[in-house]
Amino acid sequence: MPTHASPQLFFSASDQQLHCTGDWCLLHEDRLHLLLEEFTHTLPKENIKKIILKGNELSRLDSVGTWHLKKLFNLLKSKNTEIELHGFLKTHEALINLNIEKLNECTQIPKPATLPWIEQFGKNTLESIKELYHFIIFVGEIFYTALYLARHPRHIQWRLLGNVLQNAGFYALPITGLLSFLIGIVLAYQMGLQLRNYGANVFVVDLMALSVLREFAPMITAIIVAGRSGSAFTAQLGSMKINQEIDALSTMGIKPVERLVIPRLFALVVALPLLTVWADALGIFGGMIMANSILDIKFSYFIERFDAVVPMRWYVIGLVKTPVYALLIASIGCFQGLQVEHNADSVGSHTTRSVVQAIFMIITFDALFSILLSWLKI
Amino acid sequence: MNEHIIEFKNVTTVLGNQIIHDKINLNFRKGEIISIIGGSGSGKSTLVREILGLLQPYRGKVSVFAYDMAHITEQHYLELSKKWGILFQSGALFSSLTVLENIMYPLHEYSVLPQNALEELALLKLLLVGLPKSAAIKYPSELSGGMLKRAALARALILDPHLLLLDEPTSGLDPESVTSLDELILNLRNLLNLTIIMVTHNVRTLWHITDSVVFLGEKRVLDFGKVAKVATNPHPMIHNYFYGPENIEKSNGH
Repeated sequence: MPTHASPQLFFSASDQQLHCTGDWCLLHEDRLHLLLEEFTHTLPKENIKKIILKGNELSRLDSVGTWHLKKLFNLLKSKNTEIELHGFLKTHEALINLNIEKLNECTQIPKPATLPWIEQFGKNTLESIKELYHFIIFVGEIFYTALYLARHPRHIQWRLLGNVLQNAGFYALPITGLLSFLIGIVLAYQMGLQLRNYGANVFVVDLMALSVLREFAPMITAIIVAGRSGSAFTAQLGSMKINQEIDALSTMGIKPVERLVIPRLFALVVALPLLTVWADALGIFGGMIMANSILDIKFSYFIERFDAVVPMRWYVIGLVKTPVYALLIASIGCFQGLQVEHNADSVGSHTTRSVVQAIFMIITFDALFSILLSWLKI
Repeated sequence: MNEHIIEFKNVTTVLGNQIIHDKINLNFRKGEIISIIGGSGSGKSTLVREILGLLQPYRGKVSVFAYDMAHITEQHYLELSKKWGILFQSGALFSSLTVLENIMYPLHEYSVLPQNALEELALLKLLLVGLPKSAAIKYPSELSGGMLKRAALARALILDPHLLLLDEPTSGLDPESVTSLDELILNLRNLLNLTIIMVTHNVRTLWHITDSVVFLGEKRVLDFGKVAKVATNPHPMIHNYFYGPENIEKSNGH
């Protein structure tokens, strides 16, 4: 193996010879750059008719080296100097001949067309509208397929359904429980501080029940599930799409919605309310602990008052929202998964969109529920 | 120039509970085009993965450019990675980059050349493998199978490797593309004095461009030598490979 020798470019004016020596390769690219700069400055002003390029001592040459040689050639050509190669190794000469001619064709690099901003804006808008349109079709397909499955329950994918129930439901118990518990503690602490100023310690029970049962537990649970399972749905369906598994299903005459979407949707509609019940319990439990320690409200008294003042309505309203959230999470997650195109970036961007859109819709629907309920005076 | 670029010494490979190779010995010489052939599951791609250090043999030693792949330091591996170019079976182009960016990628990583130089060099390789200029701004998902292989080959060539590993370069291509890709590979070897190791199923490729053939089967190297020599081996697996009903016609032509 030849040793690494720094490249040199040496011009002897007496016999009009230009010597290339050393390694003209990637390793010495900065040196090559300097050499060319130097050479440009030292080149005599008067025109030289012909230069003999000597390559006997050129030990290595690669494409990066030929790129610099090409620069050299073009420089000499612009001064109407003829170049003759002399003494190069056969392989080096072959590489030079192969590369230099082609490299001159390569100066015009095709650039992707960039749109003016107004056109880009219009395109993006159209694309969003198109996505909404496709989403509506998708929702329609879900309904249609759900009705079909209701009449043909034999086609339901029980195994996948159970699988999703386990992954999205059972395995989410610890994290939803813990977060809800912590939220309960924080809420009780903040409310407790205020209530204590007015000597209204006992009302912490009413406030805790109202906020946790009606708002926090359903919302926190839905957001966690959107992050855990909505994203998983998108990534799963997305990689299946890339792997052409979705196409394979379709060509077998099996509807991807029936086989892949409905079980996920249905499992989440079952799992999310159950998780919310669990989150309700732990949220209230967190509140109980905090109330006990800073407001001196004993567990037994907390439960007694809870029983007396909290109407069933609050609990039910909280739970009624959750199947709606589940539908939102699963349909958005699956829809985004099926929108994935054939590249790795696409999986990432659609997963992000799936989670962001799901959380956005959860909060929007929560607000809509509040408006609706206040309008109905419940 | 008879130095060995790659050496396998008593290499035993186990995947799961299955022995893939049982004490394999092989030496690949510089400047040759070597084909690795054999039935499905005979461990052809596994052999390539061992050369690349992506898979460690259970026992035995694999050396590449005199580096022991089992105990290679990070720095030496980096050196190696500038010396070899790999064409993976499915191309393995980065799907989020354009073809030109894909080809540029290794050079971009190791070089401080200005952007236009990188692009020119990448475009050079693109033309070298016979792709049209317009392919440069396309994404891999927009390319046909043949173009994908060519683009992946261009990426493998960007650092002017000494060793080129091709995992089924012509599988899934139409006969015309196979011929032109074969010629391209042969030209590259003649011009740049590359060592080329490829896994192939194409009998035409074997006869036309390879110097030696490694026949894998029954967990060992059944034969290693010139195609003409290997083809006359009476071992039933080899015989069927070359003179199976499907191939009689093809090989009679040569």
